[in-house]
Amino acid sequence: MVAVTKTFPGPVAVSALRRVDLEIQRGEMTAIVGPSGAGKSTLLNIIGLLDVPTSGRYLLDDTDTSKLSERELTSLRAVTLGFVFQAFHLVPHLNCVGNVMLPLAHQGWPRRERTRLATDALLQVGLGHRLDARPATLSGGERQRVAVARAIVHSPAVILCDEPTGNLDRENSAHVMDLLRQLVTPERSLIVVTHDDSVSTCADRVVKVVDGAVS
Amino acid sequence: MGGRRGRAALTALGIAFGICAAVATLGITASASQAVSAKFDEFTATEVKVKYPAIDPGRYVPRPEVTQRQRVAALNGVREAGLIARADGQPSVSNIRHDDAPWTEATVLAAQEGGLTAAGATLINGRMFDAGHERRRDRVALVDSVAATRLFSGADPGPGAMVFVADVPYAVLGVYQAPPGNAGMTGAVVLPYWTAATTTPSGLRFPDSEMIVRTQLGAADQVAREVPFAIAPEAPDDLAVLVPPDLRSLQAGVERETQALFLGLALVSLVIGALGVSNVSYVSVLERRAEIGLRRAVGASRRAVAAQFCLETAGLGLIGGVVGTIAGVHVTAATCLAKSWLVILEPMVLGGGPVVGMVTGLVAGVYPAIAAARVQPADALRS
Repeated sequence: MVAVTKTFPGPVAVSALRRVDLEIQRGEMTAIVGPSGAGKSTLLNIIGLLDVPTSGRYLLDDTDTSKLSERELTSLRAVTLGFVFQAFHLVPHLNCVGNVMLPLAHQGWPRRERTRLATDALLQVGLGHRLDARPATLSGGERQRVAVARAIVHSPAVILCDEPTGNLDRENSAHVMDLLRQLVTPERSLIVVTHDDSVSTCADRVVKVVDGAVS
Repeated sequence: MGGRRGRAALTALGIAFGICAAVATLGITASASQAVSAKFDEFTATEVKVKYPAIDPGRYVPRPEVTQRQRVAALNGVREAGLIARADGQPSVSNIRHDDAPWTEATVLAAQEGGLTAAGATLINGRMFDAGHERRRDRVALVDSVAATRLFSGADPGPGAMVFVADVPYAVLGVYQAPPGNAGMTGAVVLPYWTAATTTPSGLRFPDSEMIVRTQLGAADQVAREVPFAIAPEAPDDLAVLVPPDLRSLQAGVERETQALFLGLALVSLVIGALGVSNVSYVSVLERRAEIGLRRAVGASRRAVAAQFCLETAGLGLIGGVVGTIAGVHVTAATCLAKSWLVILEPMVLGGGPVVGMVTGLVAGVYPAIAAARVQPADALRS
């Protein structure tokens, strides 16, 4: 990111990010910390192509995202990025396999392949015995593991986590963070927005955001 | 989950009502039309009457002449034709000539042979007039079966029976049966037409004549157009031609009007159902913002999100259409059973119900789909 700025229009314009310069290498686990309202989620949304900067440049794998159309951004996001949210955001009327398959559904994978990859991902996170379970029957820790499986099913280069342990107890938080740490490879980066010191201490690098600026 | 399914079921019910109303409308009107068609009055639909104008001292007007019958009978589509006239008042009719004999008042007609047949009279016994009776001016008569029973205590007056019309004797040639519902010929005595064309000894006057034409089925309109020119080519517009109402087109017209009315009601019902689907789908979009945001985050395009919601409402519409079609068929069958009608259901109606339901659901889902496509994933996932 080079001089990335994000301003939200309104009666009083809000500068969520101010001239942010940031470089994250492949294979790094980066924690983004800072007080509430500092701009951490806005930064994560821009990294995750869920939002576009008001000004500045954001290059993802050397691709200048400011030159891409919305459709191209959506395709890039689908292939390159995986998401884990604080609220899990599982689709309630789909079982675990159905939830994990979602990223593959929009990439043209045949149904049989989608099912196989989703099953493998659930096995990887230790939920092979809950393939047909609906989210309502899962514990908080299990739901977040399903979300992690969904984030990795399509082998993305970057996994973005927004407060992944925010809704979990200490034990489950530790399990989930162990799982996430194992996902970091030389080919895959992990970026975590967190308030949790135990999470940030696991990271290779900590980026502090205060009042929209990065240090 | 049960609440969501219940809401979806109620939503589909709105469309089901509209489709049921449409299917039942089309089925019941078609069945009713067939029932009317079964009662189609062939007799009335093949009769054409020509009335002559009143005498006008100031100008020439066509008058009934016995020779006109041949020209009319020669027209294509004509089965029989002839003049019929009615005597003034109700002349006295008796079976014997005697000052003190019981007599009755009856309708007296004068008719050409073809006219009586064209009017629908059927001979029970004896024989009809012929050209010889007209040429010779024979004093013969035909008697209606009701009159025969009154005069001769039976439908067969026997050989040599006489009837006295205004004290003038006429030999009874035969007895006829008047067509049902024809009060003018029931209980009447019919004399040959020469009695109307000349002054009779009885002093009977026949002021008005009609040309009665019996056509083949379906030819009435065409004959009605041609008969004035056959009777009076010099003044066809002076003749008044009475044509039977075209019952088939009347029936079709009634069916169309009835269909239009009830289909209009069905359309209103369908629109209301569609609005219900649209409303519920929009609420679903608001409830599923996080899901929409997630799908967008993992790679769904705006178009894919919109298509998902359109497909969902189309599916609801299809279910509603199938349920409505089945219900409409049952309503049609129940109505026809109660009315003893044959059930008429076009295959297109049966196939069209689910299709119309699906299309209605699809259209109803457009607005919610657009709203879903506009959801910003970052905002939706934060909420």
